[in-house]
Amino acid sequence: MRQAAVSVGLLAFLSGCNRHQSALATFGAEAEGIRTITIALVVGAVFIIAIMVGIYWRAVRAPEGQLTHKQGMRLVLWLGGIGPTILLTVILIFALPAMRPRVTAPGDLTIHVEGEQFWWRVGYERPGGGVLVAANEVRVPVGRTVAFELTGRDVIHSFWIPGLAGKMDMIPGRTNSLVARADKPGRYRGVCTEFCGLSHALMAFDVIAMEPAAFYAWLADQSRPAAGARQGQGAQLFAANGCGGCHAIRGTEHDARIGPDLSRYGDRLTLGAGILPPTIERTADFIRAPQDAKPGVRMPAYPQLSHQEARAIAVYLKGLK
Amino acid sequence: MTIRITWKRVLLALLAIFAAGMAFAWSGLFQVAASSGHWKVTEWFLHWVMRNSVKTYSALQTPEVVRDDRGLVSAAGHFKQACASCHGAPGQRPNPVMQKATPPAPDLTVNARQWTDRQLFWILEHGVKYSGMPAWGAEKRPDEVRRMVAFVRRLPTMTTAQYRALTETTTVPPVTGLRPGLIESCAGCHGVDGRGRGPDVPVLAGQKVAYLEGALRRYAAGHRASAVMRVAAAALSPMEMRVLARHYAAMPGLRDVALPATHPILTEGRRDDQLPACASCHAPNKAYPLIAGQKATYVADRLTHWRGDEKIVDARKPSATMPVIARRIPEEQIEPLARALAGAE
Repeated sequence: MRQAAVSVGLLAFLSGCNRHQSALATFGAEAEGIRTITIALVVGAVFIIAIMVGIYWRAVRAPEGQLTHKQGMRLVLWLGGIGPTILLTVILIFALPAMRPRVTAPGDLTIHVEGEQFWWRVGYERPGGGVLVAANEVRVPVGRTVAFELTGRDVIHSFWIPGLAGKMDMIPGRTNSLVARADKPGRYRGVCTEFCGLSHALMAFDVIAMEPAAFYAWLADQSRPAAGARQGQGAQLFAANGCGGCHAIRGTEHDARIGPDLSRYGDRLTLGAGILPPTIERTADFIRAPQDAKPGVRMPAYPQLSHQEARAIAVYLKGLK
Repeated sequence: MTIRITWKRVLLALLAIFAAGMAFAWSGLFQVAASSGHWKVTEWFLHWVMRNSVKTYSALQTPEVVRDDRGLVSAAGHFKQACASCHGAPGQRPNPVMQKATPPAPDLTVNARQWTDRQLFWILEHGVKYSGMPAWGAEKRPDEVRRMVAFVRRLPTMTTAQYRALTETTTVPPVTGLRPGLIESCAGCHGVDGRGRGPDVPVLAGQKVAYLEGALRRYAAGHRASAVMRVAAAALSPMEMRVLARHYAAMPGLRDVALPATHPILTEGRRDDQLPACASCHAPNKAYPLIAGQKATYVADRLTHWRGDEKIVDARKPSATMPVIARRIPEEQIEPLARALAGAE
């Protein structure tokens, strides 16, 4: 009985493990490097502790008079002075390469990400020039070097895709660069790791690593306006309620840059920056009362919309593919 | 013979007194009749308690500014509808039936001098328990209370003609579908032309029918906070709301035109402050009310009211559309913005 309770308690420590958002389940070269160092350090630490315990054991159990002062001083010299110096030097040399940023070549993909309370403004530099604006989702081609240019708009945020690379702060008025390479296609997750306000814990994003051919096809396709961007009751309500005062949808007159770009909302994997399933019902609820899902959100509530009107707008947005 | 006082006896005596009091209350012998009034000493004591309470709490619970003299028309109209029957008004004695209450409501044309502005504000906002004085009819509308303080302050010196000028207008042509006297009551504040008789009363003429009707419905249900308009709208039938909305919408006044570029916030907003342009929502074919040509004082008052108290933490501030937008307008831009809007026609 007690064993069962202990095992259930220990299970709680595993709750952080998943393959979407974990520095141990890596899909990029940078995170892999960090993971290798981590494993080497942990294994090494266990080994050193075992030696320490062994020496302690021997020292305590040895009969009186068997250990001399000279032996002791020699132990201190080797295991306390010379040994650690060599070991730490080896570890330093072993870990130093991880600090060198990956070298970028002209033609490598650059992705601009701007942190805002509480979402991500994303811009892909197109191969042919120009920037494709998107939000709350980062797509990267596998096997290619990608440079993230990171900044913040309002307060300091921090950009972290645990499976891809280390953290990097997003500081207003400054651009930090993070270069990484994804190696395994799949769907992953990134988060904000610098406390940025009420909904800091609700500020995440989806990361999709794709084969390069598929990625560049996707990038080219994104520039085309979504089908149905101008049709239907939802499109009319979107315009009549001034949603275009803050949001942009390619192929329409809505081109404001205050809130997230909604051009391809229908393709999004989550709603509200990585926190909710983007169903029609959830989207409609978010439009009427975004603060219920994200306290402190910058978007105003629209309680004046009837449920049916909000639903019509949600249906329209879901159709933007 | 002496009675020794012990703890037990004291306790028993207290219990006996309590039981006797409860028995008296249960018997119904205590008279609650208003006709008999209070003993002089009771009356003095109750008023003394009330005055002390008003003095203390008016010092603790009132905002910095408690009086607004800029617009008296809406306050006068509300006074006429909601207050005059108990308190009287210049040229109008209090309703004799209401004077038979205990205590009778004071005649404010005399009594208003006894209170400071701050005390008046507190009484108007919170009402007075056990006296029949109700609290203000809408929560969080200190702007309405401030105007009423200014009006009540003037009552002792106000002539009948002045009161009439504030609350009545010239002959109003009748409107079919409304009971007699109704349109006259509306016109008392909103004017025969629907343009509002004071700087505190907005232009209704030419406004969208659906918006006016919806506003009346929301006022009546208490979903839109205003004591003044709630009293006026609560008595209306759905049919009368529709007739009134159409009546004012049909008048020449506000026009459904694009906002002019007389102020950058009107047409461009401020991207760095995440403030969208007014024209995003207030433009032809949009779902929101017409604002081009609205009174500058009214617009500035609404925006200031929506901004609310700066000291409240973000999470507790209202999240509805206009409060959020208004908080992003730089405070010093509110007046110029409202003036630019008023000039736009």
